[in-house]
Amino acid sequence: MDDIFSGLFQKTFKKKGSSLILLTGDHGMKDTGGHGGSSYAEVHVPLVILGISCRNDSIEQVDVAANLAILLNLDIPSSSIGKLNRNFLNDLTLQQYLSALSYNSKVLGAKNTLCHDEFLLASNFHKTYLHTGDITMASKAIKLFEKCSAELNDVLIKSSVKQNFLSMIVSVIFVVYAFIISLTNFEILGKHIYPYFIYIILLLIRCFFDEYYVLFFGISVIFIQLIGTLKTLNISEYCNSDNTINTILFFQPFTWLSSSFIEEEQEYWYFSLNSFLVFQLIKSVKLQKPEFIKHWLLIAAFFRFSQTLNQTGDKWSAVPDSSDFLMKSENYFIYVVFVAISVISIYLTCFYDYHSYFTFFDILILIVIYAFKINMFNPIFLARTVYLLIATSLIINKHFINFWILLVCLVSKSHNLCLISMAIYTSRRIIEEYDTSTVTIVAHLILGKSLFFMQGNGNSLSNVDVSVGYIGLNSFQPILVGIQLLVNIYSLTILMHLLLINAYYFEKRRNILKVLYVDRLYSMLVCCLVSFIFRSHISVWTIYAPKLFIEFFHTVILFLEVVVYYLVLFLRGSRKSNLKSSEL
Amino acid sequence: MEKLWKGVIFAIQMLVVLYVISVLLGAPFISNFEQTFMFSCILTVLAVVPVILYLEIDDIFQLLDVVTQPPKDSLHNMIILQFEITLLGAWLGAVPIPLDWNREWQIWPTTCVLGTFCGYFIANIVSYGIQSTNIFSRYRKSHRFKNVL
Repeated sequence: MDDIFSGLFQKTFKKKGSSLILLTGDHGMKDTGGHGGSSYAEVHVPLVILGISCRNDSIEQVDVAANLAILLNLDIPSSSIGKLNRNFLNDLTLQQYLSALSYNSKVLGAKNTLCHDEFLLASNFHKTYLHTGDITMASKAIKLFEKCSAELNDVLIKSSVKQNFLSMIVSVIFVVYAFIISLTNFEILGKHIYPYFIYIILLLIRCFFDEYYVLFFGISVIFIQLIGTLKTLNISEYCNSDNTINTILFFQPFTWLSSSFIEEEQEYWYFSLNSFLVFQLIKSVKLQKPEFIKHWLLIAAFFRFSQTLNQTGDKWSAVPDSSDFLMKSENYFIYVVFVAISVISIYLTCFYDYHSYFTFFDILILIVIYAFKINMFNPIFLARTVYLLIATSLIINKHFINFWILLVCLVSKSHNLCLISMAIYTSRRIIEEYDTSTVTIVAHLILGKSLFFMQGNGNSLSNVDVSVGYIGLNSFQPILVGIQLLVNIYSLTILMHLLLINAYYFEKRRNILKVLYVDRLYSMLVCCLVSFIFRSHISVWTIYAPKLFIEFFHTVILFLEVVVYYLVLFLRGSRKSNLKSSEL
Repeated sequence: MEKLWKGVIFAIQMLVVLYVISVLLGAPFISNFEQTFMFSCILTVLAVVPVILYLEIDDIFQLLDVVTQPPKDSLHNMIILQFEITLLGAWLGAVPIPLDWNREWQIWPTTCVLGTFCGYFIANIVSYGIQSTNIFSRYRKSHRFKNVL
């Protein structure tokens, strides 16, 4: 680090002209390695400035942006709440410093009217100084500006870290409530729904009034409800399974207690999935079944490869991945062959493994999708054609999984197409081996989670690639772009859910939905608790808040799945009697 | 002499198998060949070689059979326990790698090698304890993997 920095320094300062080097970090570090706490070493960050003359001082982290903007002659960011520091801006003349102060106070004053009069007075002093050149006026103005900026800065910092403590508690209790309710019974519109209305009303009241007793009343109502349900709670029904694989799902949310395991959540899922597949491999070696060994070796090797397909997370996000390799223009031939193999394998797995009747019409759609993926023809026209064809196929065949597979083929990035066929293939192998036991459910869930990350998604909003939302569009249409984006992000997770549900007979499907729902709620619950515990953690806004947001989206998507499922059932209600198990 | 030769061949086979398994579990395929190879060497020496020497096993099917069946005597018990705990240590050794502490030891395969050594160490202490006190003599009768594998 020192060598790199000295090299950088010498290179920069050899050249003529003014340079400014600022060396700092977003957080400090304990000697033992962690940085999530609030000890002195963790919240104090070194700041080294080279290139200007300035005096030793310590400044607030929020002040850096404002001071730097002045030094670099840029606009102060409109969201800045920092104050200027004379020791930092030592190079500025009195007049420059005064106008910088006046500028910054305008930025601050736009957020709060606290020191409005003082600022006016100070600007008057400033004007007088500019007209008469009176130094005493200038120093008066500086004093006033600095004092008011400091006050405003203080108020703004406090309001930016203000948290609605009671609302958080009530919300956490409500998630616990929902979790316990869902363990006991799962009536879509049962009597247990009323506390949710109370909750919504409470939140509304909380928005308009600041009355704490309303919240205490709400909490007591929920507690009474909770005690009522606890009597009927039958935990043993869900704990009697002796499969160690359940532990993977049970334990996973607790890894979020370390912020690194939120940033690198994919590592947990990849490692669990790999361990499961290696276990399957060893098991088939033990049973001496060559065809099983072949299957599981292929699956394990493939998923090991797909983990390098899209690099996600934070620590290794800069490492070049396989999709970068495929996207290079000199590898175009490999890319075309790779996509062709993916598309053909989708057809083959659908045909042989999943026994769906892929009609010629569906094959035609696959060919058009392939043409679209390798940019053969006008892409916007092709994409719209495919949408039309898929819709027609759904209306003719009424086969929901085929529809979803084709839709995912269209919306996924082209190098991710290989994941679809492998997901179906693996799902088939799991169901073949475990039939309808707990292992099937858990393995599908792990696979769904891993595929979510293999597609390149992550627990950071910066991972979202908006370009996939523009398929068949040539302008920004928020709703269509949003829908395509969501379909792309959740495509394979939903596909795994569909395959899982499809493996069960009609009467059991409701239970599967319930298991999915309970699992989702469990993650949500632990995520809420973890964010609540770490509400004053140093990276609450960069890690925990986005994670909570993403968990919320997972839940919304699952809710939509359930709604669509019941909607389809409702629409088919008239011919429910001849519903086959292969149909959804 | 022939037995020794068979044992050596089997150890080399296991080396390759362990290399493949560690790649399947997430180790780099080619780029860190030396490190991954050394790691599988260490695993072979600490976990597999004792099994070959004491239990005279020269076949992977035999090995899996022995590992998953209830032990015959206390020596058998000790060796298998050592095999399992050493592999478990190597497996758990991967846990600290994703943490963002930016330490130089947080790379493949340092933590896994350390985990292997810890597992071996713990396994030796535990088997000494079992051997000297004999309180766990019935411990392995209800074997964990019997139903699963």
